[in-house]
Amino acid sequence: MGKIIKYEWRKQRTSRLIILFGLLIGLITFAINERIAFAVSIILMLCGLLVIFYTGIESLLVFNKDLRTKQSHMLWMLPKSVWEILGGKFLAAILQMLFVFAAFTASGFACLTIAIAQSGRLKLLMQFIKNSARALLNADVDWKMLVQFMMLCFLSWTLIIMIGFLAIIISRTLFLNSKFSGLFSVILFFVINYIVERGCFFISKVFNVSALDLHPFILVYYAVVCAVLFGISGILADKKLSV
Amino acid sequence: MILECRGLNKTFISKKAVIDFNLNITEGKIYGLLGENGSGKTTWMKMVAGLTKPTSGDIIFKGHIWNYQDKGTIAYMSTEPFFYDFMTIASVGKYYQDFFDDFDMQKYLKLIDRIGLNENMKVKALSTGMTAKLKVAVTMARKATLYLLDEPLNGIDYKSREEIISIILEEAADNNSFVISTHLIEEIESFVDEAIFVKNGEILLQTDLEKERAENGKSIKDIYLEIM
Repeated sequence: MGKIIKYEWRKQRTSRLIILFGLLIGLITFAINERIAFAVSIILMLCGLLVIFYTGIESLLVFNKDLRTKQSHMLWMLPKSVWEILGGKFLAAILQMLFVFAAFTASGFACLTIAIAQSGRLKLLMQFIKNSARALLNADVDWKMLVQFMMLCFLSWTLIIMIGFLAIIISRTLFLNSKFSGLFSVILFFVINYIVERGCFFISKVFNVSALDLHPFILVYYAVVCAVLFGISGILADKKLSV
Repeated sequence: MILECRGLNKTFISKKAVIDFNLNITEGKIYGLLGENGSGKTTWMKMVAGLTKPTSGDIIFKGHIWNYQDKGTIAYMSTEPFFYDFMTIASVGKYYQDFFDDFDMQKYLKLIDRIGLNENMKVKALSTGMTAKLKVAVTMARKATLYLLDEPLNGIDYKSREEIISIILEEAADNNSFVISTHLIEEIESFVDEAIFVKNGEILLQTDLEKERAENGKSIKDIYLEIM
């Protein structure tokens, strides 16, 4: 599977280079222009969230493009099981997301270092971080809650990938290379997403847990749904998908 | 026998692409798969290559029901370009080396040199003819049991066709088989052992060409025009 990941990872190299270039520009702007440094740090944080979300979507776009352009033959002609192929794609998407996360985290530390170097700004930055954390969590940092929150973010992101895989596989199975295939997979993506969220709402109600809480039960629900979606995608790709 | 297809069918929504294919492929032979566009040739090849799933029927490869591991000894060359855009000719070879145990890198490098390609060329910059040659080179650099070549001469100039045919003939041996789908009937007549004629998803005839020539005085073109 490592080799599959290697080639899947290579497919999003252009995006990684653009992200790194954008970060470099942001850091240089942060360092040389004191007046807009604070705004730049905010923009970098927001961009980080958006870009991490986008990397997941991009892996779906790559999958769809592969199937549309027949580059999928490169993967499906290999003597590998469908589980290795889909698993490799998923792990490559995770690596891409972790890379982007690491790049933005490193940029954050770089901003802090620059701020320390330019004395006086550190206090302002730390105050902002503290205020933001308080506003978000409305309390002091609760590590258990933070870990649950991180897990929820990861599972939500994984859910997007799994729903996307399934929507694309169903769409390409039914419509092959029809021009409606892309549109149908987008519609299907939202439909499956809606069903999953309704399921979460329903089960939360049955077990008397708020769907908005960071309750372990919600995490388990999302983990199970991700596994089920991956299983359905694999079976469908194995039995029905023509590339 | 290398490959046996029993009652193989493939339906795309309402269109029947392959209807009740019963077909035997034996070692040491080169087969020509002949038919008009949309007759089901590519769909059949893709089913044997594992890219398309049969609606019903069985594919038996080397005596067992086909499974994904058989792709390791079936070399399929698609008619469509399928290499990743970011690849160079060298990295295409590396990719095959990474995944196929039967791939011979030295042979690949010799083949691309022989057909006039350079390993530093980028795949997305190649012309249609160059891409076609690359597909042949990378496929033929495998030591497969079964070669499925979908329109290998398409987009290739006349002079290079001779070279491609030579490469195929050099690889043909007693322990492997070739199935070549093509529209260029006369070009393959000299080296094909058996012809399989396909129309509207059905096999019309599978026949030994030497026998046809000797017994009926018919060429592949005569049979084609007669039954298609």
